[in-house]
Amino acid sequence: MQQRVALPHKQINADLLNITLKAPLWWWITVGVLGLFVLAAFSSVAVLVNKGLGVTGLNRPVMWGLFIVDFIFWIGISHAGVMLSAILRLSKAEWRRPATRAAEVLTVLSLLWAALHPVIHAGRLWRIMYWAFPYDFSRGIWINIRSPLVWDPSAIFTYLTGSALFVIVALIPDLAVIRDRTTGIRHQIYSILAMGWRGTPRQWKLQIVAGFLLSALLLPVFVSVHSIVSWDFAVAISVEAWHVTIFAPYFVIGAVHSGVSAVVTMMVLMRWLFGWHAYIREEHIDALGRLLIVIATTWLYFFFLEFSFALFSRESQEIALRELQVFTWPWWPLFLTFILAGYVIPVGLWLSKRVRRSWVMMFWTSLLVNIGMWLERLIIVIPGLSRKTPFSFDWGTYHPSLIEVTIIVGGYAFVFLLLLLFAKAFPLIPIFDIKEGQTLSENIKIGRRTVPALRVEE
Amino acid sequence: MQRQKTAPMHDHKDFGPDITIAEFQKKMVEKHTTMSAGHLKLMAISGFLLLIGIIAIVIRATTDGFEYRAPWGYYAATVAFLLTAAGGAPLIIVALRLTHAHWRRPFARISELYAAVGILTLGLFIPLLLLVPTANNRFTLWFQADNGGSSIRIPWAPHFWITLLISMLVVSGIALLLVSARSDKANLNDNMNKPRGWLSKGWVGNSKQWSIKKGGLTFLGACYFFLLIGTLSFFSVDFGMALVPGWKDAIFPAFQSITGLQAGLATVIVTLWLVRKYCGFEDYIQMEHFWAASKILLALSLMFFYFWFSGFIIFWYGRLPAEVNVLNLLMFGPYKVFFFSAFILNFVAPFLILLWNSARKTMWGPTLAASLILIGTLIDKIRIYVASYSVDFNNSPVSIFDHKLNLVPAFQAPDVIDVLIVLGCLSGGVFMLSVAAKLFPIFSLWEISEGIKIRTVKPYLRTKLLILGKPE
Repeated sequence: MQQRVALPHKQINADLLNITLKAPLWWWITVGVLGLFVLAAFSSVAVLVNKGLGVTGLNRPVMWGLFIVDFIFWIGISHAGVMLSAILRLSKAEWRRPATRAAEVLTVLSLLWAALHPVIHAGRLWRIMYWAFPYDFSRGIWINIRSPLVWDPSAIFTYLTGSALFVIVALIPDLAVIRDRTTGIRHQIYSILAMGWRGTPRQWKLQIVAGFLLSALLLPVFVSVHSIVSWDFAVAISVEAWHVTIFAPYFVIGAVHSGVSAVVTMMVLMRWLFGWHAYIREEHIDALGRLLIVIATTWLYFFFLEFSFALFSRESQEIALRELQVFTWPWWPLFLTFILAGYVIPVGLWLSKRVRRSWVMMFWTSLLVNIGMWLERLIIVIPGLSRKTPFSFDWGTYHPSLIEVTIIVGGYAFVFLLLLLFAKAFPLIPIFDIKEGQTLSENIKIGRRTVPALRVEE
Repeated sequence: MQRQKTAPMHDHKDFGPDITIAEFQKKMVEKHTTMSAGHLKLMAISGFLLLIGIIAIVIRATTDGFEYRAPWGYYAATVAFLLTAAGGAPLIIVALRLTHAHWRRPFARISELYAAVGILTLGLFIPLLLLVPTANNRFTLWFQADNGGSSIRIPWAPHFWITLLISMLVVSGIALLLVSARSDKANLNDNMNKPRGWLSKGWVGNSKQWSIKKGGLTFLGACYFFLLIGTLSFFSVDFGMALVPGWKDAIFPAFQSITGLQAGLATVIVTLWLVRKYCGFEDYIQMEHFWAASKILLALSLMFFYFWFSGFIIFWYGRLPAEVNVLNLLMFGPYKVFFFSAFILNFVAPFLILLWNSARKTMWGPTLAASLILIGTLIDKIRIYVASYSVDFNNSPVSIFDHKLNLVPAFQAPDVIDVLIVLGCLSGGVFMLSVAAKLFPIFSLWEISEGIKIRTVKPYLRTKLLILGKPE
């Protein structure tokens, strides 16, 4: 049953712009602390650029380490935006309204950070141009367009552009609200950003059409991004456990699992930090919890297929790799944690309605999912590479260096910092969407009961 | 019964049919008590063709035996098609109930009635057990480990377990139908002044019974979902992929599950159109139902492409000899016509039709796309299973225990017996459905009545809007 709260439009404006119009002290302190972490991360990047990849723990044959693991993780988180916003918008799910903006912004920011990983991982950043652009016409050296490593940036930047447009289009009516409540230079900036929005029927029509079109156009891009990331691994035939046909949907559904969980974490935090109790309600995280059960179970099915097909052909190399992942130190505790945190504990708890409607439980379980999903990527990348194969002539192990760890930790601070900065400039819950939800809500009497109802638009 | 106060009359055409619960029930009683000549004719013809099909199966068994798989390819493909299309149909209403889709209501019983076809599928599946060797020492999903002198094997794999899976699927499907239809049978019996049967005996429609019924539907729906995905996955591997040496394709079971959903929805859409056209339910089945279903059909058609491409690119890019031969066998070799036909019918044509809202927002658009998908699914099953079974024939140089397909076998053309088997089995599905439609009302009375209750039209500003109650 929906817990509808009737809110006047004036109150919606005041509540959802509380952080934008006047930031509290904790906001400044948090921004400062996060800024220090980001500074440390970028200083570490500077050291890496200056000294080279030797300062990392990367080695032969483990040439992909934490940067690539974290790259996949952040690309995964970015799948929250389209999954929630576009799909729920197209399916007209009513409970989407408070979650969409946060999901879209998380998409853009996590994509920004993810896109930096391959650049940092290159060590000599300027050499990226050799990889992505043709650089020597006279010698006929061209980029290898047949490589998924080249498809990757194309997909990621298309997704980033589309997602940014998605955020902007949905922001325009809210920008006009802020414009009308600010003065001075802020008023002028918001006036430019609002692009003359007056809320005429024509403007609303165009905004809705643009939203739907972008939703439909972004969906294939959303699927292609993580599929291409998976093909970075799967088209290779030299690493056992990577050359698997299920990788693309397995990566995509894992990304959605991770991304939607991140949105739940973020919504709980937003409710707590910004006091949006009337907007982010138990019914919303309950719905997200139910959605997550379906997503997580689909993910488990793909994981089962991925894992069991390694044993399907009974090849000794594949079996040895799985033994390394599941039974050998230090991987077995990580594998166990991944399974427990990624599926068993959260989904087991989400089956209870009481847990799905508990803010504390949903916060911790959604966080647990992302710990599990990060470990999943680690277990895919490192053990696969660290096994000696007929074509690996050097032999080394991988221990991440302090530089790598600092950059990785700084990345979380980077995304969270940008989120806080975004919240200072723009509302994290779409004001117009909440007002629309209020307008469409209605009550009808069935027998002796009054039940919540919805005005259907078409 | 009085006209519902919560569902006031309106004359706006866009808001669908203006019916009351009493009117709807009266119509259903009329339809259910009289058996039309068309229905009788359909049962007779499909029953006769089923008989011919059974005779053809007996002839195949006596002339070719069960020593080699090649002669049984078309039979296996037909069983796979029934398992996919008819097995997938009940899942449609399970998913729509879970998402509280308001437009699901006319689809409900039609979707559930397909559970009856499962009985036939289970019967047809049994001969296939004689064609497949045990999982010992061959490619299999059933775990095997050799540790020194000792070995770990799952006993009776895959025969016992897959039979158990299909049996449980059929039982859960039938249980889903019975639980859903219990209140409707009571309602019809009372309205027809007939004594209650065993199913509806004791049904009074109190809160506790409704609560148990809805809980039961959720539980059985969840069971059906997991059993169907499990069945389609293990069947496609044990009775398809694992029979071809070197074919190791982790996405294939998931791809078969997706085609199950796609074909299941297509089956329900086509049946709904036929019921509307030939059973006189024009007022109750509207364009909005086809329109809503068409969006899901479009999404599933896109997923058909995505899952196929995700598997294909890995083999095509890797160019490993074993994988190249599998591609040649299934896509670009003797069955290329089947592959491209299935690709067009399952993806290209439905995509092009359903891409346009003007086609989606009709009754013919989704029905045409669904019909093409059903034909495409049958062709796709023929491509997969006939090709897989064609590897094993008299004097075949390839063994199921090999790790690579060294020789791509020639095209296995259907003979008269194959044609009769396919025709008979498909007609058998129609026969089972028409028998079930005689036993149970073709519409879910309780769900449609619920839909009428929670739906109303109210004025809003200068227009009228449809208001949908959300009691859940």
